[in-house]
Amino acid sequence: MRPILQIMLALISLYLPVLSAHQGDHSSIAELDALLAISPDAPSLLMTRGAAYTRTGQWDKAEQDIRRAKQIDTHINVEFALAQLYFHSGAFNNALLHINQYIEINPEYAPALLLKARSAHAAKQTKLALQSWNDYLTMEPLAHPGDYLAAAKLHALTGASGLKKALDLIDQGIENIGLTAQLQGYAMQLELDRNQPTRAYNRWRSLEHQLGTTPKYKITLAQLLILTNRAGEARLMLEDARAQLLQLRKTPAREALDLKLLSIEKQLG
Amino acid sequence: MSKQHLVLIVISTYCLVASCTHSQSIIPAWQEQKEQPTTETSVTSEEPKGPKVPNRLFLQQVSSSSAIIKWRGDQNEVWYGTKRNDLSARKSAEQERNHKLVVLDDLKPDTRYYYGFKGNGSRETVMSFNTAPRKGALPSDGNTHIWLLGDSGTATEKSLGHYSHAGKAIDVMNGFLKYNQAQANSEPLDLLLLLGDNAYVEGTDEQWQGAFFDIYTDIIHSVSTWPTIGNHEMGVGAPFDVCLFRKLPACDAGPLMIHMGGISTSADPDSYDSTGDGPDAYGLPYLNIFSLPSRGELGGVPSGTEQYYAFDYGNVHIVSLDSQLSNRDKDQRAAMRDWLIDDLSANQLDWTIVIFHHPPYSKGSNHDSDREQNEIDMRQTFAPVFEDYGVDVVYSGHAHSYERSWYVNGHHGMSDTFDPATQALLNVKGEPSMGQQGELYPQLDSSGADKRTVYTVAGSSGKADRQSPCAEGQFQGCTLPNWLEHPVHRTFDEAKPGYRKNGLAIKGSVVIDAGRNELTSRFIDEHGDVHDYFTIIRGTR
Repeated sequence: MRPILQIMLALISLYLPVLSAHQGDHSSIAELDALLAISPDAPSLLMTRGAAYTRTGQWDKAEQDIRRAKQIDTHINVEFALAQLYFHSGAFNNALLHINQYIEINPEYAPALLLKARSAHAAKQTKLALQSWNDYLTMEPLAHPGDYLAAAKLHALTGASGLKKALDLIDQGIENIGLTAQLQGYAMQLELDRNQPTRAYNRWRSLEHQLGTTPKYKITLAQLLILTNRAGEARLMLEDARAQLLQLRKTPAREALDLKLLSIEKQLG
Repeated sequence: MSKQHLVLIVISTYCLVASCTHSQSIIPAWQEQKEQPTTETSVTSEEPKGPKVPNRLFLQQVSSSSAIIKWRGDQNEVWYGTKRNDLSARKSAEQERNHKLVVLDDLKPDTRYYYGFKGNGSRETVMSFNTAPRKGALPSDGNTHIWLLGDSGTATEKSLGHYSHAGKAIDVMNGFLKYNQAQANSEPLDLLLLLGDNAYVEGTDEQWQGAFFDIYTDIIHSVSTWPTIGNHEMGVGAPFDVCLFRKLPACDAGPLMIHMGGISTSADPDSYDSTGDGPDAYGLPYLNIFSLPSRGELGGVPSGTEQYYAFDYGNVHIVSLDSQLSNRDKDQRAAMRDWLIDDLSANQLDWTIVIFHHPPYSKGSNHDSDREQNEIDMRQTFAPVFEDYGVDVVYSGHAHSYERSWYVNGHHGMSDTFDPATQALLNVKGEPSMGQQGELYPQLDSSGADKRTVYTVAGSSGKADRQSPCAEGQFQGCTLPNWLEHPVHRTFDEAKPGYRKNGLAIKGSVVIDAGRNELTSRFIDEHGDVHDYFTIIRGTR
């Protein structure tokens, strides 16, 4: 930060009344309305209210504020704010237009790459979305599991080769952030989608040390055993799960598992 | 209303919200070091005198067989053992970002270990901690004793150039210590849980030092700290032009933009920005400071991220969710929910405790769970999971007051849809049960299912909001007529000072005692007095 700005801000700390840090969007808009009634040409207030309008789904008002801020001060970079607005309002191609402009100036800003991936994804520009997800996940290898899943799910929509790429991406995620049931559980489903029940079984088995003592794990394993023609083992697994369910404290989720177990047993005959 | 009046309201609106005041602590000297965090930086602490104890000494991930000791300072090794006067085992430190740490392993369960830093002088201070019991077992004292702090980080909060809440967090701590000595037989803590906003206002490394490490110094080197991310852990948000509020001499040169702490809307921890001049080089201080179990290191299903995690401690399973970042993005929120389901499905311990910052039910000053999206999302997406998967108690902060729900199931809408007759456990009189004395909460309902949860908002460990009625059109920095009147929360006797219909405007913290058959949660004020409690009786099949 520039020293002059630091000094100014330090001065402000002595003079300025306190600002609110906890604002619900609707209430902050009411306050910003009041401020803008006094200072209608304050770009910062317009940008802030624009962001609040974006979060509350008031797209036209958001765009009006952001664009007016730009008119008043042409040096303000409004591209990221506009991209967010268009993304949330469903105008995904417009979002892409603006996020690309933002990335030209700030190519290393990961949240912008993430927004590009999501915008392209939502705009059904699959190739661009996959490239953007790749750019983002390359920059952020320790990304959130939800980001790996979102990217993998998009790959999976692109046919047989996409399933393989989705699995590769999940494996890459597992290598980067560790084995998790979220990622491996989805990979297990993908293996089933490409008719590879043994691989699906193996993937699920890899979670045994994490989930292995639970009825939920055992019931899913029984389903996979059935798919790999091991009905006898499946029955044993289901018996094991039933015995455990009888021991454990009953919850709505375990009651639902009980019903699922019954249904699988019926299927087995 | 005149324009002047409006300006005053707006300014007072901002001014009165004490939670935000530290945005004016802008740029003390330490922020010049932003790009290069140093080791021993503190707003308030001095170099320790006397016995050589490192700065910022704290424990992480204490399990039944291991523990992490972290610190800053010159010391490069830890000596430890099971006898105070025989620290014969030694472990060298690793450097992790701007902390040193050792991982002690091969420890015995439920055992007191002593440790110290030899070699730097003749005098030595010896610290100690207890390892966790084996999974499922109780600590040897028969009880898992847990302290919870919500929004305690006010020591670094400034207004008009002064620390506006100096001493309040310490008062709350002293209240707990007094309670613990007088009413809990000085029982050692097993866990310290943080409910977010534990370092105001931007959650910088230096604010963590001043608001947390310098205050709880003597506690956190003997008990493991387990945090969750609050809005004040996530830096600054949108910029404001100061000159709109106050005509300073500098305003002649043009707008003066400042950035407020606590209002970031990013879902990406790498976008953490402490000052408003772009993302900080070292990312989110919260994640740099704490070592959290993303890979199921202490039980619990691996989450793949330190933003949310779970672990076991003896007979208690604890989940820390991320209501600040992951909750903002639908893909990340879905992944967190799926993980939570897997984690809770795998849990078979006596008690399940969930913590996160944004309360699903609150009518706190400035924080209304009918209005704030983070709170709505936590309620709609996660509360059904808590109830279906046997979560016993949920704790949040964010609102600077205390609210505690009835024993509820199925209320996931706005507050005006709450129906106590069908959504709360009723007593013999047909009223919602308090969970006290003759009507303790049974973990299992009449059908034998565990499907009810108590939700507590405990965000007054650093300050308590006061009644300040809103002017016409004012929503922030004031109290609305329904302040602390969320019907899902238990009722209080409004005649008492600080008591409102459904909550308490009183500074304090929460203590949980989880035994084999009972879990009791108490709200303790700064004097050590208990203002609320409830007990759940464990159910067995």
